[in-house]
Amino acid sequence: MAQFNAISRLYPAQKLPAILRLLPLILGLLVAVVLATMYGAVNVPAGETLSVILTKLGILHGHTTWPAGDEAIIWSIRFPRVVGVGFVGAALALAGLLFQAVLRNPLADPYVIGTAAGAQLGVTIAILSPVTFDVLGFGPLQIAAFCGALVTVLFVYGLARTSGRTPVVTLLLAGFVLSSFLISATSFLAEANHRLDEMMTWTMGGVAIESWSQLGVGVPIVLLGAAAVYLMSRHLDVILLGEEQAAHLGVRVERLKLAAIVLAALLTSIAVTLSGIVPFVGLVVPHAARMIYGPGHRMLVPAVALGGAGFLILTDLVARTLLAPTEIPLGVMAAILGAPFFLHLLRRSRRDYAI
Amino acid sequence: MQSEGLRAQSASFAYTTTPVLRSVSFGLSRGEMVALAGPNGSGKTTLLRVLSGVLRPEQGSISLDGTDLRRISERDRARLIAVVPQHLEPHLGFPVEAVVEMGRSAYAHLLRPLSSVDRSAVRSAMDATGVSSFASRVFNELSGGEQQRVMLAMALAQQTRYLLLDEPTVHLDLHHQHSLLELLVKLRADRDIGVLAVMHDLNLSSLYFERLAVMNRGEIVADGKPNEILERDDALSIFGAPLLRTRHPQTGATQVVLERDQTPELLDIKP
Repeated sequence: MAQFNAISRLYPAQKLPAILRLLPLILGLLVAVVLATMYGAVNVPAGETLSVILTKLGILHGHTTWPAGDEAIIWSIRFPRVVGVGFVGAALALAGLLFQAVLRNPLADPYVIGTAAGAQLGVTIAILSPVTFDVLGFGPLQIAAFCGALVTVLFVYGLARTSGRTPVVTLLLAGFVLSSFLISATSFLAEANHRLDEMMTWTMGGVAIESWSQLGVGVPIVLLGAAAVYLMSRHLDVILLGEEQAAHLGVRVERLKLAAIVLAALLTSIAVTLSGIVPFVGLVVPHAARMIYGPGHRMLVPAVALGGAGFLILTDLVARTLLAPTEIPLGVMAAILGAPFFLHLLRRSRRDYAI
Repeated sequence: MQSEGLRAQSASFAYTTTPVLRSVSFGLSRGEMVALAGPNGSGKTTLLRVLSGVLRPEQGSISLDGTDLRRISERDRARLIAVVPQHLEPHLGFPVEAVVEMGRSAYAHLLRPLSSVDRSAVRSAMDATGVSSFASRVFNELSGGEQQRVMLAMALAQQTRYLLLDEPTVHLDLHHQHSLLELLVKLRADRDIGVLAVMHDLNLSSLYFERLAVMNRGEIVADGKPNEILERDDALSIFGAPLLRTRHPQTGATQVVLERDQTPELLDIKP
């Protein structure tokens, strides 16, 4: 952990080994998972919830002491949703981290630079098109979402890039305009096909996870994606020095950027196919993690994945239970919870913002 | 031997349509210390970038100890050529030590922590540049001069054969100008490094460097011993300023100073 030695002195609470520093996030995520699985239209006690999950996962072996109905609620309905939302949170936070590093831009995230809107348009086209097939939750929807996200991010990046840099203002303007255009195009397509209401819920982040089978492809992709981001972490640190200096230090800059952008588009598109557009996670979670753990990516990558998952699982819990039986769209709730939390962190942080 | 060293062979480059380098041939050998001077926009930084490999010349070629630079991987290149830029990204939240450690990127394993060899390279680079005393301060909170020394430390940690510096003394006070240039002289001698520095200060160039190359409009117009070049009127006229020659009181090196436009009587500021 050589590089963390220096960072440890700067962030005084950080002298422990990496795994111990991540422990609060790991425990927090586990608590969030249990809470989110317990509570809903029917509340199940914590002990029973844990027993069902652990038995189903094959960790616990014992007699079934709970009603079959509870087991169905927990294992077949709520737990897949909690797991799915967790992976959506991790994917969005990792995508945000990647965008912020390779664009060297603190305001980049999948929502702001239009990637999510591009994925959304792709999904809408796929839904309206007659082509359907599905292999473990993988079909035209996922392919279209990925293509939409990738084309959008490459377009915005190309548009905003001038003489080797991507200025903040240009990037935000390009992202904002394209994002608005894509969202309107999505609405137009939906309206023209008389399916606007259905689409609107989704635009605001309606979770569409109803069974395990939908997670079959998304979960492994996010796991592999997270591992890939971790492998890039040393180079993600170096690229923050600037592209030219990174090249002087031996980083293959163009290849790294392309890999990061494709990976971020992939993670975003997985998130969008599972839960529509959820803003704020990709922006708030990496910044919060930086304020706590410093700018080194080998610490940030696991922290952001765990934090993104925990944050979105709790957000989803509040969204489901606050106005029950009405379900608040996840995207709306993420912004309501995320904004004050971010402002609090921003105020508490003594340093000037630095990426 | 002609193939040794870092060499540009008739290298040309243009960012747009105006050529910035016009068929430049230039060589830097190991153990040599060369200053590159010239008016603003004459192509000094571009020549540095072309020699470092981040820009590819449109015509001509760059070779490194006999091998075409294009045939050397980025990682290997970073073990042979280090560059000290004028500045880095302004918002860099890493502590100094972490920045210097990035100088070992071309040696480090993707996942494993830095080896003891890497650690000692980092430590000696930090000691040599005097940045150890503020090792845990954040880069973007440092002064310009401190940042420049950290960038030099990062380049030294690369342990390369060639060191290219873009205006290394520009943010430094006299104390640090002196220690940086003495350090470069020492490095050249101890490690047999070839040093090429873009310098605006002709006096420092003649005091510390054994060779001075002057660029104008994308071409090298003079290249030789600083004392001889500074004695040439055609070489000095390129800078477009009235200059007077004098001698360094200690070494006798040629020094140049600006000449005022007005007559001496008008310059007299006595009350």
